[in-house]
Amino acid sequence: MRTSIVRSRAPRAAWLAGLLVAAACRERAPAPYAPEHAAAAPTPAAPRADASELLATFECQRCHDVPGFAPAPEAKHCVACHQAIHAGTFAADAQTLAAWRPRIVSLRWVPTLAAADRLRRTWLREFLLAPHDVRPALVAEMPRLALSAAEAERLAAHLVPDDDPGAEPPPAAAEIARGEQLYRGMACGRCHRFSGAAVDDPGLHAAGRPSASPAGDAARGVGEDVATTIQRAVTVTGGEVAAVATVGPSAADAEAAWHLAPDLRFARARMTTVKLAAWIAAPRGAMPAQGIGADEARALAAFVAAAPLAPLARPPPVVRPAPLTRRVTWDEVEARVFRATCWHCHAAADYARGDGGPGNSGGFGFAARGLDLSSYSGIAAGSLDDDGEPRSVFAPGPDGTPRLIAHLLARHTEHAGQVVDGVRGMPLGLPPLPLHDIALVDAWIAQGRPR
Amino acid sequence: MRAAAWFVILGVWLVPSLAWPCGNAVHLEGDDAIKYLAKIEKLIDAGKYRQARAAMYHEVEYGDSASSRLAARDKDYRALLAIRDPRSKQRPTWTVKHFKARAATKAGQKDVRLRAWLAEAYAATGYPELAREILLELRERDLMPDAFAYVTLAAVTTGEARAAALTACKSRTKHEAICQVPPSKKPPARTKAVARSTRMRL
Repeated sequence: MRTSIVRSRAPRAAWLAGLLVAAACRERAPAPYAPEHAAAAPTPAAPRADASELLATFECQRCHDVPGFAPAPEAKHCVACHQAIHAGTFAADAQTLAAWRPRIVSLRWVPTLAAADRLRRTWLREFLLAPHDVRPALVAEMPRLALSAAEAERLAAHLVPDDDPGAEPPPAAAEIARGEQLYRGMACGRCHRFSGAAVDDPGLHAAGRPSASPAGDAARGVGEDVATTIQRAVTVTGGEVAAVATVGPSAADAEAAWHLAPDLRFARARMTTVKLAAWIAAPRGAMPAQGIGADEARALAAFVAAAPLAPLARPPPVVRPAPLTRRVTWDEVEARVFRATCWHCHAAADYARGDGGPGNSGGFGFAARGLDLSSYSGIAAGSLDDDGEPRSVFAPGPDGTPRLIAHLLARHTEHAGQVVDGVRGMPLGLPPLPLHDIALVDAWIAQGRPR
Repeated sequence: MRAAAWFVILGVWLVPSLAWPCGNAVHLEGDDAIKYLAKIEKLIDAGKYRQARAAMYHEVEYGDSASSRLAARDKDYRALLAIRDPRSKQRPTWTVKHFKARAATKAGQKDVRLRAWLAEAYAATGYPELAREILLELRERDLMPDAFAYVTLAAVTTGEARAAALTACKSRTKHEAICQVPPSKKPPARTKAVARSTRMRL
């Protein structure tokens, strides 16, 4: 609800009012690297544990569709809010929305948890504890929440009620070959990356990006047909792709499907071949139906599960960059870092109906940290420690790295598939800040945080 | 007058029910009352007290559940103007009570800025030792929020501590004029209620 300002103050009422009151993105493109977890041995089948209270505590419904939970109200629903801004239905004037849209590139699409039962329980447990980038077209990743191992286990058991029975026989070579033929014929690479596999084609993937706006596609020289080709029916005759027909031309659905398509490198760790085949034959969520039979789905699953993969190049360990030697001022770090990235979750609660975002007032299972990164004095006023006591965000750690810098560097480590004990990477669930931006903030701190 | 009182009572009584996680980005750009307060904040921060006072000559209607928080913030800025503006004619004794009450609320208990503002109020009303106690603790914990906290520390210290505080003040503002140490104030005759220590565990 908007508020208004009325001219002509009433000073006589002011003292009473005061007395009574006193009594009472720019966001960034995703990094290309994604680590992988080995397919862990299945856990022994256990009865489904109801972890509804954990789903509520960690506020999963603020981003995901969660079976059994009503979606969070729009004001707390990250994805719904971003979608509303892009759809023009958010309560703001057209000019404001137009200014926001280019900045809102993350959290526009998110996988539904209603389809999480296709996953391996053990993979999900490990993923919750150390999330990594599974969906290369999404800017945001699953954030690393403050989950204990036991909580991750319970959530995984809740979301994957029937765990996998055990090892599967390897698929036959002929089936794998047939699956590869289908993969190429159906142009699965238009939506999916398959990094490390011979069929992976970044160019095809990039060209396959549809848009909710056919005009936008036309402007990019893509054409409306591309926006709709993933909504299709495939006719397979004698193991060959005979025809691909477009069905259900929903450009918005196509855009969601493209963004949510996972890198198939991780499919063998995430799902058994049996579940993968069932999924391809009858997908749920954003993946469109392919119109193929069970045999073709099995062949595709066999290929995805067994295609040879080149090892991923692990990025080198992140090293704190040398601070800049030139003078750095508040204006520069505010514009480049705090306002561009941090402010959204670490806001001033007074200006936000008492909720300064999860990084200030708490949320997603995090306690309130009281950290306001929206102003110079807010940052200088520090955050609350685990006991709720104020502490400086500039305080040096054991190795001399300021706390703020340690959190920014830890995000690089998380992005490489590891975690730093006791330090949560920031920005939470978003790509790490470029090292030159971290060096900028580091220099600003080292220079005495000049205004 | 009666309507205004009822309005504030309602504002205090109505607990905010709607969280607004993306609040600042949205509200700073879309909410008139917040834009107004943010403008005042900037003017005071730049030491442009006359402009701030002129801009504050409005009555703000905080027409939603955030009214109590915004009204309190509005009052904070009025208190800061009374403390910082050398042309202010009123003796800002009331600001001590205001910031003490704010710092005593649940939200304010660990609010470093409110502590620093309370110290400014102490210093401006003739209680340098109370101001010094707060500010030395904040400085020791690297929690001095802004240049105003440093110039206040300079006003209540001497020698090297004062010089260091002034240097820090100048590096934390683009408006060095605010780092002019104000003349020391004598406490008012009636001191008992205020002069007791208000040290809080930070």
